[in-house]
Amino acid sequence: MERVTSRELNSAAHLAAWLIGLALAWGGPTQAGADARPTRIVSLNLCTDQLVMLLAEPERIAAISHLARDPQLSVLADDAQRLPVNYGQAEEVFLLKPDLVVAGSFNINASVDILRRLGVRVEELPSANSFDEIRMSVRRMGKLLGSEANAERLVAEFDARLAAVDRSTVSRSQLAALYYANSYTSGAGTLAAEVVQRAGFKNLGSELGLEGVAELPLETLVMRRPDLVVTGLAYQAPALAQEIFEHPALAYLQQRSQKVAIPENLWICGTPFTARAVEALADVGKALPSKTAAALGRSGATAADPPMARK
Amino acid sequence: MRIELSYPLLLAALGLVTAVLFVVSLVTGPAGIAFFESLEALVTGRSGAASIVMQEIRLPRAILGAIIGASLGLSGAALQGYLRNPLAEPGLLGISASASLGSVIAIYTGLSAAFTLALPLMALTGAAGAVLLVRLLAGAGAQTITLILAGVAVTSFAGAMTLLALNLSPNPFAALEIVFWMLGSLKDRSMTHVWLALPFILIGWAMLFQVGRALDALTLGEAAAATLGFRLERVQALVVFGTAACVGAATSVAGAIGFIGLVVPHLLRPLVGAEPGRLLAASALGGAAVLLAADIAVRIIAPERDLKLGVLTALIGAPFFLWLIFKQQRGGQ
Repeated sequence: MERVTSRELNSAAHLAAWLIGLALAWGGPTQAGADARPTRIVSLNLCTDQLVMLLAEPERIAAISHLARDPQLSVLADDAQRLPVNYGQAEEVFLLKPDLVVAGSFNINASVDILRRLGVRVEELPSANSFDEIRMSVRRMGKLLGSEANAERLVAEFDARLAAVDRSTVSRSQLAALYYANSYTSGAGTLAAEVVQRAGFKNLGSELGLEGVAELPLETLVMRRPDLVVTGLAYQAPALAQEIFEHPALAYLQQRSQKVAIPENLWICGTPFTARAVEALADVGKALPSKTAAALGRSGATAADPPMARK
Repeated sequence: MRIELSYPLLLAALGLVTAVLFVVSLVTGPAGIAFFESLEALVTGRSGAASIVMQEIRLPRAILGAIIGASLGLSGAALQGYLRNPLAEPGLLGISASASLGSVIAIYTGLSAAFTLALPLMALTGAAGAVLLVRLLAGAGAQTITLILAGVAVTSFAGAMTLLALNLSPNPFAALEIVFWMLGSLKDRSMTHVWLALPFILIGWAMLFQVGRALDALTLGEAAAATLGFRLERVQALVVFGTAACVGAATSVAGAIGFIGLVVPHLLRPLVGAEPGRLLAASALGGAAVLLAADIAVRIIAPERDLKLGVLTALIGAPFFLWLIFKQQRGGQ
C-alpha cells in the first residue's frame, strides 16, 4: 500500500483511475499471466490487427481496430467484417474485458496509459520497416498469442515466396519511383524501398538521398524520368491529395515510363502479405523492356517516337 | 515626406517589378535547371522533360501567382473604397473563407468531377454570399468595428462548415486539406487550373475597373455621389459581383490567401494621392508582385515542406493589421 502514500495521488485523475482499478479488480478483466494463451484479444492498430487475424482463431479475438475493415488499408478487410471492431477509446476497450491488448507504437497515448493503470495487459509492437522486422514481429506476435507454430509456418511461407521471386530478368539499372498522394515517396530505411529493391529495381527515393517517407517534388520526378512509376490505389472519394495523379506533367512522364498501381495495403503494414508486393513488382519488371533493348529501339526511331508506346 | 512620382510612372515601375518577379518565379524550383536553359525550354518546348517542367509545372504556378495576387490587391482596394473603410479586405470580411467553403462543397461531394465549372461557380456563390451578408450585417457606412465583427462571424462560420464538410468525406486525406483551404498554396497547380479560373478572374477585373470614378465620388459621401450621377445600386452590384468573381475563382484553385488585399492598397495609397479610383490599377499590380514574391519565398525558405502562402502573408499582414487598428484608435480620440 505504498502507492497510497505516494505523491501520485495528489492528481485527481490518478486517484480516480486507481480507485476504478481497485473496484474492478474483483469483477474486471482476468489478469492472466504472460504465458497463458489469451482468449480475449483486442488489437488497437491496423498492423497488429492483421497479425492477430493471421495468427489467432476468430473465437479468441474480442475486437480489432475499425481501420481493419477498410480494404484500401487492410488486406484482411473481408475477414474483418465478421469481427467486432473498436475505435481505440479506453472505455470501450476496457468494457470488452480483454486479457491481452496489442497496440502499435502509434497507439501509445492516453488511452493505453489508462488501460495499463486499470491493470489491463497491453503489449506494443513497433511497425515493421524491413523484411527482418516482419519476421521478428510475426514471431513476437506468435509468442504473445500462444501461436508459435503458426508464426513459424507464416515466416517460412514468407521466406519461400520471397526466394521464389525471379529477379534475373530485371536489369540492375532499372529505376523505379514510388509516388503517393500529395507527392510523397519512400526513401531509404522504409519497407517500400526494400520491396522495390528486392524486386530488382533501384528506388528513386533512396537514390535521391531521401530517408523515410518524404516529399518528392513533381519537377524532380519528371526530370529523373524513372523506368517505372509505382503509385497506390486512389480512393473513390475525391481529395486534392490525389489530384497529383492527374497532373499533365505526370501524363507526359507516362509516355516514357511504365506506370503501375500496387495496392498500398500490402506495405502500409509490414506483414507476410508484403511478399505479394515484391511478386507484383517483379512481374512488372519482367514486362519492362530491358535498358539495352530500349536504347537500341530509341536510336533506330525518331526522337518524336514515344519509346514505350508498344506494350 | 512626400514621394513625387507621376501615376503612369508608378504603374510602369510596379509593372516592371511584377515582370521581374514573374521571371524569378519561373526559374525557381527543385529541378535545378539553369536560368537560360529553363527559359529556352519554356519558349521552344523542345527540351523534353525540362520543357514539361517549365510549361506544365512552373508556368501555371507563375501565372496563377500573378493573377491571384492581382485579384486580391484589386478587390482589397475596391472594397476599401466602396465601404470607405481602411480595414476592408477579402480575407478579413470572410469572402475568401466563404469561397473556400463553396469550393470544398464542390470538390469533395464529387460535383466538380461531374461538372467542371461547378468549382468556380460554387466558390463565386460563396464569395458573393459573404459580401452581401457582411454588407447586410454591418449596414451602409458602417463603423469599422461592426464591419470587422461581421467579417469575423462570417469567417468563423465558413471555416467551421469547411472543416465539417472535409471531416464528412470518406477520403482520409480530406481532413488534412483544411490547411490548404485556410492558408492557400500554389504547389503543383496545372494549366487546367489556370483555364478554370482565368475567365472568371477577367470578368471580375472588368467589373471592378468600372467603379474607379464612382469610388472617387464616394469619398464625398453617398448623397454627393448620387447627385454626381452615379447609380449606387449599380456600383454596389459591380463591387460585390466583381469581388466575388475574381476572389471566388482565385480561392477555388489556390485556397484562401489573406492580408494581401489589406496591405497592398495601404502601401500604395500615399503614392497615388489618395484617389481610390487610381488605387485600383496600382493595387492590382502591387498585389501580383507581393503574391509572386511570397510564392518564391515559400519555395526558397522551405523547399521540401510545402509551406503555405497564408503563413507568409500573415507574418507580414497581421502585425500591419494591428498597427492599422492602433493608428485608427489614436486617430479616433
